[in-house]
Amino acid sequence: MSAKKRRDAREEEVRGRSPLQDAFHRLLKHRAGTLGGIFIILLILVALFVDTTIPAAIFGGEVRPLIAPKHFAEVSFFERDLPPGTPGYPLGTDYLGRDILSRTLYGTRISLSIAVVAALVSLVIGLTYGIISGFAPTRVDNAMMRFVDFLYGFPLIIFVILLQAYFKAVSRRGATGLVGVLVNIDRALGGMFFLFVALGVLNWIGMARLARAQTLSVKQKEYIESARALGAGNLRIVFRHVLPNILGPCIVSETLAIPGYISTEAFLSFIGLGVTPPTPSWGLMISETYAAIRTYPWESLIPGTALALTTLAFNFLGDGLRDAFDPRLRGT
Amino acid sequence: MLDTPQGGGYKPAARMIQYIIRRLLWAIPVLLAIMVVTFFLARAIPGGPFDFAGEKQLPESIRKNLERKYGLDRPVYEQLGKWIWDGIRFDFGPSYASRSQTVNDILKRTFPISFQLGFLALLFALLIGIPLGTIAAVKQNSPIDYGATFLAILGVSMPTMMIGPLLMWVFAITLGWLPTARWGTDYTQLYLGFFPNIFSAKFWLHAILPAVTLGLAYSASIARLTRASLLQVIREDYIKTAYAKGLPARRTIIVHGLRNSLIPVATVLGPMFAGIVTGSLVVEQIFGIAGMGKYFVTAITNRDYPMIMGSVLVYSVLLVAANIVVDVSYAWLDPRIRYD
Repeated sequence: MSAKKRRDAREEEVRGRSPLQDAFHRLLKHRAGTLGGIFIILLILVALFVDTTIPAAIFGGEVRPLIAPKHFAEVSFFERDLPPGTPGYPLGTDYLGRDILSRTLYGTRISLSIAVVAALVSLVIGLTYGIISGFAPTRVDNAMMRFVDFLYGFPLIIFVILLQAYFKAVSRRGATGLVGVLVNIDRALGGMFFLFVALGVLNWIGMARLARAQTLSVKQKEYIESARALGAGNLRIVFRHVLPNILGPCIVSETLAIPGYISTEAFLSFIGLGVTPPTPSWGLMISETYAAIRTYPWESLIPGTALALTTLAFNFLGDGLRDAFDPRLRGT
Repeated sequence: MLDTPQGGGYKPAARMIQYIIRRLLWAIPVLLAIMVVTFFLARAIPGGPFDFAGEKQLPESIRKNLERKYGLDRPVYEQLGKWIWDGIRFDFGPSYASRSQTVNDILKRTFPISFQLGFLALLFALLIGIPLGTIAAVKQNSPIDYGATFLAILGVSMPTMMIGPLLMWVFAITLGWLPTARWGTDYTQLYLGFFPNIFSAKFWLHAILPAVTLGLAYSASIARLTRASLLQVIREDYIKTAYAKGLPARRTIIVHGLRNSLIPVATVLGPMFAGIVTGSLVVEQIFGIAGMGKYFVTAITNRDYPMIMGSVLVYSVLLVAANIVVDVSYAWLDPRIRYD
């Protein structure tokens, strides 16, 4: 039986895999990376189904929530600051009597949306900018990179703070026209829309640099030359040949940037410039409760643990992906 | 473009000074642009500084009067001009929120404390990170290495706002070893208005928790980087040469290995500095430290324009200067990098 297994393995080896499959197999061998990946998949499931209810028909009784026992904004005035383990509140309640378990579970939605959207925004802007810069004539390329250098010297986080203050104030006051539409979107998302914008603005620069450098190195390759000789246009070359070849490193670097996005969101929410209460961002939960740590430590330590575990999982996954896509970098 | 030492007339020191001057000149338009952007962003935020007195809305006429007094009724270009002139002279006049104090007074009182916090955090990060990374690299694949690597990735993943309450809960509340909050010294106890009395136990007792909270994540990432780059450097031929000619291991690692492996570490110090600035906002709030961060955030909510301007400018000068220092030290660590 084990001989057969070994033969299968050998056949698998011979059959040959695409670079992507190869990378995936290497990722599976990276224990911490796999663990991080599994944890993130669990988080995604929680985020997707946190407010799904089990129809009454299945259990015959009442309509029951599938994951989070309560809604994140459900206030219970007579059950404030209960410790973990209280019947009905496995992780206790906060200063408004809201179920901490439910709020923490709902919080996955905020952190993961930020992670995914901020990563996509910065990936799309950065890739576009970087590839255009890499393909543009030298003079345009120089100008574009000068602009990036200029922004790089800018204390962008300060501007994101000011920008968020502006967005928040506009959002509170209401607006008309296009801004009004954006404000409504932002309200519907509990204050997350403007965070996406702010984080995207903050983080595309590094990606633009990486994408340009990668484009420049790929541009020299023979297969680009042969594609050009066969009459392929710039667009075709970019989408068929350049993009697939530079995507790997860009995605790896973006995954490694995700913990930064998550903690920036938590930071902005902590100083009151992130999501709108009662949206249960972990940063907001900590900022509302850290002052009471002497008496009710669990109220800030539980969302803190969730934040730390999520960041840890993305760090593990990022490490694993990097090793998988570029085995030469293993252990760096 | 690529100078070689044989290129004739090559003077590293002169080039370095030239480079520093060029970078300083380049910082001027950056700072001006920052002032302009800050001006328009701060003004764009709806609501003015004198809309409320406490909870009460101020009558229209009083608000108008106050705005006239502080020149807020002047044309925009005039205000912008005054704003930039204030920035150049570094004199921002009275704070709108607490009119008995000037912005400079507030900055003079709070900046040294924030600076001490940031400096100690950075020091902690380097003093823990570099040795930890070095030991891990030297003992690669040993239990020490695994332990250090695990600690490092754990440290990198712990957000400041998690570490702060956790450390406070363990060391200040449960064990009662350290004070929970406040900075151990204030403006009146500083030498030359800036330096703390480093022989005072009170200063250190109060400094430990906030500085560790702020520096922990960075010590972890420095440890990771040091380990990774030292591992690459150790395999270089010149390290083998050093061993071969009989140099002791310790000297080889520290003199030949570590200096070269610090190059990637130097590159992340710039962004790390920005992280320490934002982290200090959180740490100051958690530990109730009367630093600049608190004033910056409340200045934004109060639309206290001079205070916003003052603190943005202080942060910007700090970050721009840090970037220059990092780039210069980068080139100093790696002589192959030319200053152009």
